[in-house]
Amino acid sequence: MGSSSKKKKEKQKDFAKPKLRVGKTKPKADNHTSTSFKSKAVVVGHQSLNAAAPTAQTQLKHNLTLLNHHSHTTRRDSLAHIASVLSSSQSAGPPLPFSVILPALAPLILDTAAPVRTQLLTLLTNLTKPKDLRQDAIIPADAVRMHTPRFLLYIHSAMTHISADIRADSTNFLALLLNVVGEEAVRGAKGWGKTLKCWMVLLGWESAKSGAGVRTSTIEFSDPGKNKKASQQHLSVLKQFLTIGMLVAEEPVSNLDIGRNDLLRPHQYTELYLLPRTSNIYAHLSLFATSVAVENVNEEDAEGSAEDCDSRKRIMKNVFEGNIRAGLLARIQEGGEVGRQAGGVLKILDKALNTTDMEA
Amino acid sequence: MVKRKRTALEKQTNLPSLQNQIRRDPPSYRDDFLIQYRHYESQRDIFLAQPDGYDSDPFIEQLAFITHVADCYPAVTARFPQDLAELLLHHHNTLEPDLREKLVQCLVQLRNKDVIPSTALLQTLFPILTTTHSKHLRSQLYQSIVSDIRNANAKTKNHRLNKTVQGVLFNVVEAGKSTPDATVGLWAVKVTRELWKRGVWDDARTVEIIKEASLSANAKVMSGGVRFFLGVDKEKEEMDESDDEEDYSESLSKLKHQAGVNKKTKKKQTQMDRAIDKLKKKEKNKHKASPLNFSALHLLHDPQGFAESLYTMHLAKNNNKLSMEQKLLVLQLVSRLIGLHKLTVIGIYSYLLKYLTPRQREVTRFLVAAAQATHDHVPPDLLEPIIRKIADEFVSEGVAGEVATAGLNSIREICARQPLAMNDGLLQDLTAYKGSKDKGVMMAARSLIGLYRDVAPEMLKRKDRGKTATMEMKSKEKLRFGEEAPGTIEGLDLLEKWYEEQKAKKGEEGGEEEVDGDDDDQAWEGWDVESDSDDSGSWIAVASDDEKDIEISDSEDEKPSARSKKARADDEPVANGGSAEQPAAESEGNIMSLATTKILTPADLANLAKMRAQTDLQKASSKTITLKNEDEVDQSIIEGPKTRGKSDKEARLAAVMEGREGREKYSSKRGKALAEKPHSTTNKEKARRKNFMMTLGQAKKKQKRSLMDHRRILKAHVERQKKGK
Repeated sequence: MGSSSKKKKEKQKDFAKPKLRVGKTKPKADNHTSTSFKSKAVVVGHQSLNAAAPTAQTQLKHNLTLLNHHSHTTRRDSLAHIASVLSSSQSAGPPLPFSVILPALAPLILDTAAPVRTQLLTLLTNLTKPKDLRQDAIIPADAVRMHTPRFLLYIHSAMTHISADIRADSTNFLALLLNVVGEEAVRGAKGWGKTLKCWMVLLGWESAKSGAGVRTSTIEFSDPGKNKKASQQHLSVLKQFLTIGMLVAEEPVSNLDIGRNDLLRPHQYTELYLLPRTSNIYAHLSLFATSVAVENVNEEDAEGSAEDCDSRKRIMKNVFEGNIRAGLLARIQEGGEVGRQAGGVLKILDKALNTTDMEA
Repeated sequence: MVKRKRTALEKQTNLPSLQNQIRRDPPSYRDDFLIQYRHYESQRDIFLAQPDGYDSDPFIEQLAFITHVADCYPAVTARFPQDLAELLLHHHNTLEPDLREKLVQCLVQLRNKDVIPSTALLQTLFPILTTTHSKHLRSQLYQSIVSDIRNANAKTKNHRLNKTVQGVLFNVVEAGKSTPDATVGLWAVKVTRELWKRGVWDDARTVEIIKEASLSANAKVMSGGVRFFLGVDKEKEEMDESDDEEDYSESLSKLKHQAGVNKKTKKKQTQMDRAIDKLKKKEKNKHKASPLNFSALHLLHDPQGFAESLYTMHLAKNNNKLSMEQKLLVLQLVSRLIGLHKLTVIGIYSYLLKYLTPRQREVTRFLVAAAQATHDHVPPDLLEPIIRKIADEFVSEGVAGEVATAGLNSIREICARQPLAMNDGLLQDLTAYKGSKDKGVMMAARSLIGLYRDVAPEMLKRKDRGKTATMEMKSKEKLRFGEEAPGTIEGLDLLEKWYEEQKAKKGEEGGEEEVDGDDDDQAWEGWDVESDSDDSGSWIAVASDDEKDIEISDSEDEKPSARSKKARADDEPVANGGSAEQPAAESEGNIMSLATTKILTPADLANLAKMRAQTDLQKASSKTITLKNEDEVDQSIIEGPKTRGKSDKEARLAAVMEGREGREKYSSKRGKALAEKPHSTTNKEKARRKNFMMTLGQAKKKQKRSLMDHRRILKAHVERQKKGK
């Protein structure tokens, strides 16, 4: 007898008509077999081994992306890789253009990890130094010159960074840039006025002139041993910076030199009326910039045109001289190695500004 | 000593700690701040060199830091707010969302710290609000704009700010007025609406912005403006009510109870005090009449011009750009304006005529508009075609009951506002529907009869007039167009009746005249400032003088006294509504007698208000029609009572069954669990399907059981139940 309710129900179930409704999933058929599967790991039996290794170009690209990696060891390693690739590909040129590589390197000036910064510095120093007189550097000076503004931006940022270590390293990069591109690094509003402003806050001389004295609460003195070293280095770079910025390199003059310009010129100021030798000398006017407003051009003329030596001297005299002198004098009073270096900087300053006085 | 030095020269490693130290002692940390400010500048330059693909996290951090301490170094950060504003203005479409959000936040924060004025903030944010493509940014800007204006108006109205912002909004709306695809005005409308709703703005200038918006060529802007006029008062009321509810939730009694039960601490005591203060304040505010609570429609300058230009711009010419819904909105607003301000827009009546057919979509709203656009200054010959058309199209034997109901109701609404629009023949035809089988039609026809019994009984058939109307007919004058009923004080007759009753009572006691004079003086007491002064004796003398004056004025016919005039100014001078309510039997002189012979004391006025409220209550319960042209016509009045037929119930049942389909049945969990898992038959199932023949013997035995046996069995059962087995 069909006494079991279960059996009855099962029988009835076979004849129940599934209802189809709009908007609902279609009920599964009786003979439906689920093909879905769960697995904890997908095991690949054989790994495919590509015979062709990735090209140097793709490897380099990959390493450039790794420069943003969160682990600092990876960043450092990829820097090392880039250095080795560049140094080995001397004759054929780099696998990627420098216009790709250099902008990617610049942000590492602000890297939080000291080893990465050191690695970057060694990379740049090694590759921009000519090996001998006959051979050019691996990264030609022209390529660096192209990207000077970008490097300057990051150097400015590093000079004002909250971390003392990054600030301490920042002048190393500035020194490197000065060595490689020379005057290019101090040209223009970015190169001169802005950098000087950063110097002021870096050395704590922003309000030195007004009698408030050199900085009161700061990082500079908190770690005396390290600090002395850092400030020595800062002062030596400052000296270099001022020298390049305000003293015209005097070429050794010989009467036999046909290329000597003075003899060929009708007038001593001819140069002013010739086409400028540098590009974009009116950059500070930002005639073609889209957003004019954000460039603050005249804050006491600090970031005005600084395309040539004279205007740089003018800016120095108008804005920064007092503060720098006060700061330097304070350092000289401290004495020691630092004081001696400060004296050297002061000499340069005197020399640069006095010559203009004599001319005028 | 050494230790102190070291703590002073602590290393700065992160911005929050530096921020904390700067806040405590700004001058000492100036150099550190300068470094950070230069860092911000260089970060900004890096950002500007390549706005896209820039890692903005450190920049965001820097921005937050400088914003927080900007007020400590105003000289250094003078350009900072401007920088932010320019960054936002020039790059808002390319900026990374996080950075963009932070920039807005920083600006708002600077505003909160009073570093920049409100106008500067709004001038930055509003242009971005109207141009940005990002929905998220828009909502952020919108919120910050509204909250900024609200905060500025929180304590007292900041008229200067309001004026400038309203000026900006007005210009925005006006600039996009003639171009059909300028949606800029939409945001102006939205901001204005929000601020109106929250009671921040409630002046004529605000209304002017919206007025400009509703005359815009853009359909969206226009409908936003029109909706403001139609719905904003209701929204405002709801807002107020919801505020009230919050008050009640934390009532004083509850707090008192809690104070009694819980531990008594100082904190609790202060909480209690604060709550009491708050409640008292709320109570005070509730009783204080807000002086500027005018409806937006009342604040309009030149309503006639507005209504005309709305009509000619959006309705009159064949404007195909507007959808039906938008046209209806405009129509609703125009008709409401016409009714409220008693305007004359002649075109609208012929415009309406086109849409008054039962097949028209949303016809009830057109009928409502027709009723709203009627008032007693509309010439009857403009309305007659409308009534004729409604009667022809809606009210006939062939149409459904609902249609006839709607037709009759709308005719009644129109005629209540302008009774002269109807002629005898049509009225008598329409009243013939009073015997209809359909309840709605019957009620509508009866209400029409009721209306004309009041207004013009001679137009009705003799048998429809009723007793009182027939009696009043002789004294009633014929209606004439443009005739204004003399103004009265509503409920004055009630007061007079009340006086007579009082007099009768006192007359029984005796000494009628003296009592009357004293009574008046008593009524004035406590209401006048002079009564508080020292020499109350002289006051009485003045009062007697006053009464004499009135006697003199009484001899000149019907010149109302100064005070009653003033009293009338307080109550609105109701012209048509008031007179309709007056019993027509009373003669004119009789009505005005009290107003002309007596100065109404404040006590009288209070009494009058009370009595009027009572009669209003009565009126509300009895179904007489009271109509004012100011009020909106409710759509449900036109539609009549809704009936649900049998078919409707079936449909409802079907809907219920539809809903049940697919959901699991409500039943016990045990049953469901059993049904799912395979199980042997339960005892219950076995008992249910036990063979009948097998149970017969048991049943017989049961009948033959002795009482003792029965008792034992029952006892055992009880025992088992107790054990829970």
